[in-house]
Amino acid sequence: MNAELKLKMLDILLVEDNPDDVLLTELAIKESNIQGSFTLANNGKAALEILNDIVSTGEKLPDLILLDINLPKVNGLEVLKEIKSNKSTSIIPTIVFTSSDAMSDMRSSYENGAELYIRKPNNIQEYKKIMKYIVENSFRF
Amino acid sequence: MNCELKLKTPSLEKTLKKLKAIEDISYACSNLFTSDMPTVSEKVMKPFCELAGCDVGVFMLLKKPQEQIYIISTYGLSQTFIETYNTKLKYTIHSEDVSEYWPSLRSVLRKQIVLIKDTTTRKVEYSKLFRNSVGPETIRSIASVPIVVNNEAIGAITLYYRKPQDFDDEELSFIKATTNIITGTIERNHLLETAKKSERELAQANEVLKHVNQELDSFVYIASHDLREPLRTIESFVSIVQDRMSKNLDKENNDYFMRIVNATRRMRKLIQDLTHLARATKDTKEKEREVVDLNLLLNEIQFELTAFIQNKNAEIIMPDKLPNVIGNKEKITSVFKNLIANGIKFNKSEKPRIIITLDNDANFDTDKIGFCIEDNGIGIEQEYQGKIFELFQRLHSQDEYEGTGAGLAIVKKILEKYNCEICVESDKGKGSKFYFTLPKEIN
Repeated sequence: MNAELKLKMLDILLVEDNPDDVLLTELAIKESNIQGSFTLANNGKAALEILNDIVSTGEKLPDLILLDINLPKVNGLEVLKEIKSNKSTSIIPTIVFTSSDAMSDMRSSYENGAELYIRKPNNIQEYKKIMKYIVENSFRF
Repeated sequence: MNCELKLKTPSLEKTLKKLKAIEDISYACSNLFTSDMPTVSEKVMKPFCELAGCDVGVFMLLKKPQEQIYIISTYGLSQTFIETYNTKLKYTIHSEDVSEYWPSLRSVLRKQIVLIKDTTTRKVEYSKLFRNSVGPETIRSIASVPIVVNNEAIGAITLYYRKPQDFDDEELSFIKATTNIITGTIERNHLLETAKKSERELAQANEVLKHVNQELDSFVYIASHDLREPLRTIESFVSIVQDRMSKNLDKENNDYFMRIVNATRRMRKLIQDLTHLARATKDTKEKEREVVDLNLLLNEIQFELTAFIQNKNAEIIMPDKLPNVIGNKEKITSVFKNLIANGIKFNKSEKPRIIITLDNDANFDTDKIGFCIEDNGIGIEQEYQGKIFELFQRLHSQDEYEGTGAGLAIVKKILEKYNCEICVESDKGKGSKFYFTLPKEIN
């Protein structure tokens, strides 16, 4: 029971510039009856600033980062590099969530320390499955 | 007898000298492959004028585009004369103080040799500079020969004599012969220049074309990637609406809705194919010249197509040992996979059969190796065989054979990148044979 409660309150940093994808991710989580709290960063630079603030103020780190690759200002792979090369943030499970199907993006993601690489689906059922999987398995990452 | 010989000797000597001069001039001209006219004229004017026996000679060309009267070389005049004439006066044939009674202009305008045996009996005018430098009252005879290239008079050589001349046949033919040699040289150089210019222009056009092609390739690449994003959003939200509304929709609306779903699916397929096409044209740099083991590659393709092959009860027959080729593994895979899958897909036989053979024709380039992929499928009518390699060309309706018609275009594009070719031999109902080449592994 306790474990379930903990899962439901997952604190996610969503790094995503496309409002449609933000909405889809929120919907998927809501419709799966998972209650995660979202912090949204709509570009790579903003994501790194949010993380820096958290680290410097000693607040609780997000439980999970969902990171898009194709981002304005600082691209997702660079954000990933920053997160994983910084001791204070490298422990945060980071899932690259992108529409890119380029092998090179997948390879770079894993090389730079991503815990998982997931391609964005094109229907809500898949979205839900993915969110459910992520939330339920977050402790393993 | 003796007396007669003696009399003839001086004139023979003169003729010999003239022949020698013609030889010199022609030699000077034949060694000039550039349109370096000052050099041509310099080497030509002196022997020409000396042998013609004139006192002053002027070699003039009309310089485009203004048709400036431009002196490139003189005989019996100073260098300052040329400089003043060309850089200060800058006469054009349209200048007010230029007269058609200038002997050189007269021959140019008429495209004819102008011979003035006695200047006192004919109207002759000169430029002010010429009058000041030469003193025209001393000039008694003039010969001006136009230089005609491509039926256009582009200049003239004008000879001025202080002693009156008769311009007998021998004299005239000497002048004509020499001018012909000079004209020939100019003509040849002109042709060479033109050829060089076209060559340059062609190279430039090629460069532009290459650039445009590259831009087009990257456009397709970018477009196909950027188109996918909004499509994915459409599909996702359609799936939400479908989820929520499908039970409430009546038959008609449900039909409309399904059309949206199908259209987006088709669009996804089209964009996917565009992406594949873009990849076929995109250089992956270091990975363009890998050694590709075809035995391995074909095993992988068969594995990937397992379900499809089993569903259609198809079989693939190929040699036990296939050679290595050079290229990008993904692209070569795409070539074989498309051709094999097509052979099975467009096939109504109970047992679709694909036969892959090596096709070593002596006509191929030595660095290429030939293949043939044969099927027992529905075949392609003669009249459509040229069309099948074009992008999004389809010969069948969607209900008959699903697809976008990009496969063979992708195959062809990949092969073109490797300077390889593909062709088809087929007839309706008699299967198809696709012949193509790939870069050979050179040991």
